[in-house]
Amino acid sequence: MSRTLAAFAAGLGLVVGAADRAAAQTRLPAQGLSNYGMPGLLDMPTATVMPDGTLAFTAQAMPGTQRVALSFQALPRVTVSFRYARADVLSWRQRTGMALTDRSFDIHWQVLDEGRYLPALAVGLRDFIGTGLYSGEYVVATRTINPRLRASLGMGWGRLATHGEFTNPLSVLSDRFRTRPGGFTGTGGQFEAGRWFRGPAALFAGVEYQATDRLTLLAEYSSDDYRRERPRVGWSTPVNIGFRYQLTPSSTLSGYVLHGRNVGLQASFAFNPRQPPNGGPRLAAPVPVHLRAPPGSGGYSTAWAAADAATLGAQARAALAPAFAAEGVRVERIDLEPHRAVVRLTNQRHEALPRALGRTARVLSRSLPDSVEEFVLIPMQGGVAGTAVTLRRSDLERAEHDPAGTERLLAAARFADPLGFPGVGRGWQPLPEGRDAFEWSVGPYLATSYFDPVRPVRADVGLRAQLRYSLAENLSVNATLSQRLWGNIDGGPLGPDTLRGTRFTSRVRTSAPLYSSDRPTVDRLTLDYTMRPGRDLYARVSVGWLERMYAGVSTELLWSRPDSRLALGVELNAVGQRDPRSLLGLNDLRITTGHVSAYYDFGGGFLGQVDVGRYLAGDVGATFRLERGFANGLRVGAYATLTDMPFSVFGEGSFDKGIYLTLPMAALLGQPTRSSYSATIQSLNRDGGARLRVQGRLYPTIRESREQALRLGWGAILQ
Amino acid sequence: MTSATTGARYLRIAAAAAGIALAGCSNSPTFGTLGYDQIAPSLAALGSGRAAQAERLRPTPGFPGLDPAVIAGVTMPLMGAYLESLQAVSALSPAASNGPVDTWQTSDQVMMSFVGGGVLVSSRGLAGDLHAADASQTAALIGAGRGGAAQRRHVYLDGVFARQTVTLTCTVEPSGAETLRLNGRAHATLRFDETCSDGAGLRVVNRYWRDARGPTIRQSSQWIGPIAGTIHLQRLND
Repeated sequence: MSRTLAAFAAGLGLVVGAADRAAAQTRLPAQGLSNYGMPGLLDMPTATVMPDGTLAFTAQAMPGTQRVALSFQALPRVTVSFRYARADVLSWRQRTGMALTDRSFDIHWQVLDEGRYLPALAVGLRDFIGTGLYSGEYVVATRTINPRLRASLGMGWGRLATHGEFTNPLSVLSDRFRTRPGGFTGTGGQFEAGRWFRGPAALFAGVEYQATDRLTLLAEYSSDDYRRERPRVGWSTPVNIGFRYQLTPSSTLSGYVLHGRNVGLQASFAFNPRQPPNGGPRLAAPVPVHLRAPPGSGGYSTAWAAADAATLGAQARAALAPAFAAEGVRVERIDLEPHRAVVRLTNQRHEALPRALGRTARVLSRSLPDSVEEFVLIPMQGGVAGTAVTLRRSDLERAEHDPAGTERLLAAARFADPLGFPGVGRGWQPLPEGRDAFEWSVGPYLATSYFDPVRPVRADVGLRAQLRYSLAENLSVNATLSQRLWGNIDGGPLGPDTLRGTRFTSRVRTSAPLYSSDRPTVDRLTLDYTMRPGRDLYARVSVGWLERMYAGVSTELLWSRPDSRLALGVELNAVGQRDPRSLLGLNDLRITTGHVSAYYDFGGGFLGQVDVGRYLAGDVGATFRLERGFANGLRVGAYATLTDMPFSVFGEGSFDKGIYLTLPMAALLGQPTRSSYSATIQSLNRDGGARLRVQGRLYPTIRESREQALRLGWGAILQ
Repeated sequence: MTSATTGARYLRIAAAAAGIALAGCSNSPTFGTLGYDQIAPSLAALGSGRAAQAERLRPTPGFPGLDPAVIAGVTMPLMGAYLESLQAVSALSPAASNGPVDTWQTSDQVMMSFVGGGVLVSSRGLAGDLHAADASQTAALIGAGRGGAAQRRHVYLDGVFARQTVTLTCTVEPSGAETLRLNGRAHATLRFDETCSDGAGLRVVNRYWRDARGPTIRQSSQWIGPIAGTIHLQRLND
């Protein structure tokens, strides 16, 4: 092989195509992450940011303190972070015999980017919801002195003013800035805005020096004296020193000495969705578009359409099935008319639906009679027909090699409700010819339970089978069966029953550990039906064992117009609580729960959702969600639920809130796939603000083919 | 077999076993957990690194190692390709024409499109594909046998399928006549060197050997993009 290569290269005259970035490669990396998982040096913040959309994970450990953090560059200048920490706080250990475990959220806003003369400037809140172990605020400026050297200077409050503190300069505005209220409000977990930027202030500073391409040296003057962690964390100087080593373009390893006494390590891994590892998943080339002869040359006859339409469509589907399969698409039905083809398809491979649409259109351009000018592509998701996307064949021919072809195709594309197109009706949709009614998969599962102070991570692992028997396209029996092989979630504590004796139903979620066991379990066994009651309307009925803890009936109605940013839904559920000790039995608890939901797509991947209704415990209130999604399937969001349940009844944390994310597997595996991993991290699993976890909710089912989502991923249509 | 390759083999077997254990299985690619068939190729790529990537660009069994004797027996036009970044060799044959653009493809799902007899305007099937390009000015200069200034516009897609446009300012210089000996046949060619810059430190050199009589570019070295790097192309049998 190498001989052939050498000979071939020699044949080319050993020409080397020169392509080099002459500009210095040794510039400081755009960002570094501190021990808190936020832009910073070691413990101190800097006024830097990560590339927009970057999701980062950091872990830090030294004797007396360990932290893990998940950080997200939510906007180009706004970084947010969720952190779980274990700190050996003396007063806590004396009281409980344990180290303190703490969950906290940070937010960092880069007010000014670095300019020619002005430094970058950022403001941040550490631990701004919660019990306040790390509660502190800062203002920091960062300036690049030369390509290898960057310096920062800032002022901190709260924990960031525990060394070298002085009277708060803000007290010239008002005397109330002079002192900082201690402790936390009620049961914790609330915004402690009354504390922000109050009490003494202190200065901190730091420098970072890029010694080599991969090695950065760090030094800082810290205004955090770790007084609550002493003596477990030693202190003999305010100066911290360390290094950061770039292991790969996306990961770093750091080592440091804090306050002259404590040696620690930190690792970070950052995923920038715009720059996936190795240039992203490797795609097989699609088939080239076929350019028809000019009209009038005889190829545009429609005589072929005289044959029976159903037979033509079935023949086309059968003949083209291998070509579609090669493009990762399953075509379920083709309706051929003299000038139009309506194609119902399922995207089996591509992270972005537009790529599957584009590849379907390419195959059609190579195979359908020349007279067929319109391709109507209807993507199917979970038995529901998504937005019908109409592309003109001549537009596709012109766009194939046009540098602006993607945009021109989008401008000419039409998006419509599929209802009324051939093969898409209101009710019963027969299973397409050639489709297996029975689908199954068996694989491992991992269930986790976080933040038990004794054992912060609990997990169950085992085997899980998913089975589906389709009676029609839109009517199926679905089952999920699990057998745990190992696990300790059932050993976890249920936590205090704070709802006992109130008007709320207790143990609607806090009894979850009881449902984990070594017995075989039926996680789900449902009959699911979807239908289209009318234009822009979608409906769902699910009956059976809906989730691990509840069985009953769940119904839903959704209004969604393909081109509207707004969608509205109503959900009503009548359920009984399942008996944890029985395979299919129920206990005596009966609950009626339901919500009215509004979904708003702001464009650019930002989605807001508000659900107003009655929760499982009988509390009434609303859930607010905001998420940012990317065309490759990465989604990061946060939610909070506020109900009429008093914070004191809710218990620790005051109200339910958390973050959730979906990681597409394509970037990790290096090849296109629709697989993804989703996780929700609740700050605490409690009974207030708890919702039924029913599968197949309508908005998530169809959202991928809503116009805003198609626009977001449209860049992939000619890929 | 050396101990190193034995070790590598065991590693791959272990990785494959872990893949089976982790991945589970399914009768439908859209259903349930990650299928083994989805994980297996990436494990293979991890196990054998570059070789596995080069595999994708390997010629079909019909053209083993681009053997001249085999090439001589092929009637359709063939273009040999050597991609520096993967150290991979392949053979392309014509697949489609759309107006001024000719598309060639390998048997293993790599596709390249050209204007003006051989100026690259897009690639598919490589990491860091050139999504589309306007290289019409360069092609016109080479076609006319002249030197001069040319603007190029290259479009790449980032990880979220957003366009990243690179505008290159180029100078095409005729570098005189050269006789190429390709697959035992002599071709009189004119050589052109194209030097491009994006004004921000990126410098690219493309070279073309155009047939002295016609528009066909017999041989070239062309920059695809920052990730895919440079490809060397050569017409093999016409």
